[in-house]
Amino acid sequence: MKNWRPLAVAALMVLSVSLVIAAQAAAVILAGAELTRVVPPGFYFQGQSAPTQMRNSAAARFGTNRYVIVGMVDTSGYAADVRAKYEGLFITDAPIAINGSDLGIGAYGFGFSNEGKLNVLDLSGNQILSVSTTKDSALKRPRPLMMTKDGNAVRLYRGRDYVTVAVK
Amino acid sequence: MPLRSWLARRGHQAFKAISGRSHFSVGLWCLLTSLAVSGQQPSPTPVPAPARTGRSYSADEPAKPPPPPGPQAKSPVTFTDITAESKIDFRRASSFTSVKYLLEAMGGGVAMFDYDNDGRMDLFFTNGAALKDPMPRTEMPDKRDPKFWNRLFHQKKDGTFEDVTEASGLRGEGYSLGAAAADYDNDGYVDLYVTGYGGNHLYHNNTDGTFSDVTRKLGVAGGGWSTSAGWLDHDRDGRLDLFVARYVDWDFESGSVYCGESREGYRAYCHPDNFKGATNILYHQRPDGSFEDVSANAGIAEPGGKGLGVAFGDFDNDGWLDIFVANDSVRQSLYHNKGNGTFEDIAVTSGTGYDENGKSYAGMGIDIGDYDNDGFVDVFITTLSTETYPLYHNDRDLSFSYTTNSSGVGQITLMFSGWGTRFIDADNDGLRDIFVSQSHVLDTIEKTNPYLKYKQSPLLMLNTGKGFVNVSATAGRAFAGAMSGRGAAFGDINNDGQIDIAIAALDGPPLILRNDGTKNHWIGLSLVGSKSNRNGIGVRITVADGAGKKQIFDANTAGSYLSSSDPRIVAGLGSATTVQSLKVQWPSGRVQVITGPPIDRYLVVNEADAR
Repeated sequence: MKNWRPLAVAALMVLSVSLVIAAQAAAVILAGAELTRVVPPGFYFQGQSAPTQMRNSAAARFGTNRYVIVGMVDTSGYAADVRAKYEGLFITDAPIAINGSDLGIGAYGFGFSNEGKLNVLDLSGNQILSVSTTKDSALKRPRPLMMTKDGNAVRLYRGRDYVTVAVK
Repeated sequence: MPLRSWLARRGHQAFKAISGRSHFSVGLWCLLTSLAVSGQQPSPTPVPAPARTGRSYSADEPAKPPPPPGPQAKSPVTFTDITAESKIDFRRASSFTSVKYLLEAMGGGVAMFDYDNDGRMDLFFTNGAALKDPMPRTEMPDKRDPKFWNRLFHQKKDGTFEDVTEASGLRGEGYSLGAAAADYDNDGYVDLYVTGYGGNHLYHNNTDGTFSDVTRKLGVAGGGWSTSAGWLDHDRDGRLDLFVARYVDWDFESGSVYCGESREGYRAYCHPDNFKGATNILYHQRPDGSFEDVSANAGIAEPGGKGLGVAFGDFDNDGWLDIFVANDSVRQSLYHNKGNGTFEDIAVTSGTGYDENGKSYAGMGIDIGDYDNDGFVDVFITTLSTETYPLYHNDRDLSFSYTTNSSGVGQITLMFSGWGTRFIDADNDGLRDIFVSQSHVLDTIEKTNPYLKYKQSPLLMLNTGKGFVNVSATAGRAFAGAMSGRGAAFGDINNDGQIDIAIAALDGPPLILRNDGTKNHWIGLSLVGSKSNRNGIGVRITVADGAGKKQIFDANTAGSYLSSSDPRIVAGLGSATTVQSLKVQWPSGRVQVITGPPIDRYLVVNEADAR
């Protein structure tokens, strides 16, 4: 019996670590009160703050306490050149990869372009990431902005166009 | 390649996919094109840059040649313009200003109702009011000048109309927009609710040709910017309630923001994105005849909407009228009636919140009707040019399919801007066709876009049973003329069983269209409630013709844009010479089945006769 103890302890440790890793990786799409708790009501970008469109917001929790939050903001107060590139807020409190491209912890602006790109901008409007989107022709109920689970990652949709977001 | 040429080409490429563009590319196009244009054109007269600028509607318009319009088919029915012979001499006055207040671009409405019970439809038109240029924030539009009065026209025995506005007391106050007619107090005479900017008015029919303003007494003033309204008995207590759609949080100060290009003559009406949405209102009628605002408890007080049109229908056949609000450039609202006095907005889950690509559009007019006769009512919405008019097919489980393109409606409507609309069986063949009153919202659109027209002709789309085809070109001369069409009311003006149309113009005379009919048969129904509301609003009618083919109708006067239609139901029967049965389901729960009714005439159906 004594010979089994180290093996059992090792197996338990492996299992625990696996469970922790799994828990960290698993994504949960937030809704209702959980969603409104994490989405900021307004967002600063390039010289001014604007209210968030709560109905066009989405968020995912990865593991127990890592969040990716996106929301469209009311850009009517911005100049036309800003509105041309900026649609909303993109917040992540974990390092992530968007379609495989790295993005560090931080708060950003974003905009989907008609040329099939998601552009991520810093708060002064500089583009720091641009990734190609994929069109999902089979999507049943497209919305202006939403997230769905995709394995341990999430898909961030703008209409039928999406990118895949995964925590690193 | 010279930079300015590249910029111009680049800007055009940004519109490769009309249906797939985003704000990003629209803005990019605007920026690039502005740069290119400024390099190509002679320097315009310097105009001081406005302190604040907002987005105008024109930012979303395409700059590349549109695809060719769909083919026209021959219309089986024609309409005749009888405006002149009707002797209706009304001209709506919008009171245009250089500030381009959005309010100027959004009216007006028309109500078709029989206010004196003489058996002939009368017509009521809403009118604008004098605006100063600019308007001081503390002042309100002035309606004292007779050219701004709302107008009531009484139809005489010979089919001509007489202006009875002064005697009726319906000249109105403020900047009027919409009208909703129904007998709210069940006294047998139709009353009238008039919406507008700054307050609405309920006029009680005194039964002698005059009306009394009972707004304050009954508590239905509303406020802000109200648009379309409609009467329904949402809790089936036998008393009509009132739904009021409201547009945006707007006043003459916030509404003076400069939109469009800074060149002289290019200032444009602002896009509603510049303003916050306003809440809709549901007034519940108490037993004493007064009203209470139950919007919050009922679940319809949603500030995110920018309501322009409202229509009622029972989408899930549960006996409770549901409410669909057409919102301008935000998500649409489908309020499912839960049968306990509350509603749930199911627009997103039902698939009616956006278009098929998940994009919002400029919902303006709306109607609900069963276009494919499958026993479930569908939805049609009018929008701005390049958006195509959404048609949603009811898939029977409170979910909908976007059938705009598969039905042919998309190709027909790509370049049009629509307002008043209704599913009407124009040729009485038993299939609901679609009529649309049209015009672009921007009177400057032709300066900034070579492919779009400001004034547009009305549209008639014929239902072939397999889809819709454009038959406007052969539907009568009136369909060749362009106008700034807005609200439209539908009904049988001359009691011949053919649906006629009254179209309100933004600024100018209305257009009255007489349906010249076909040889197809029909049956008309006039409902008289007793336990249910007197007008029979909310009654579900199922007509089974001699061959057993069924059509359903939900009786009400709402729908379209800012307008109110004839409460009677006309069912086209095609070549069928008999009707097997009429099933009449009243909101009270009573059901009547009338077998073998006579056709090609109106039948009065009294709830009191129900067992």
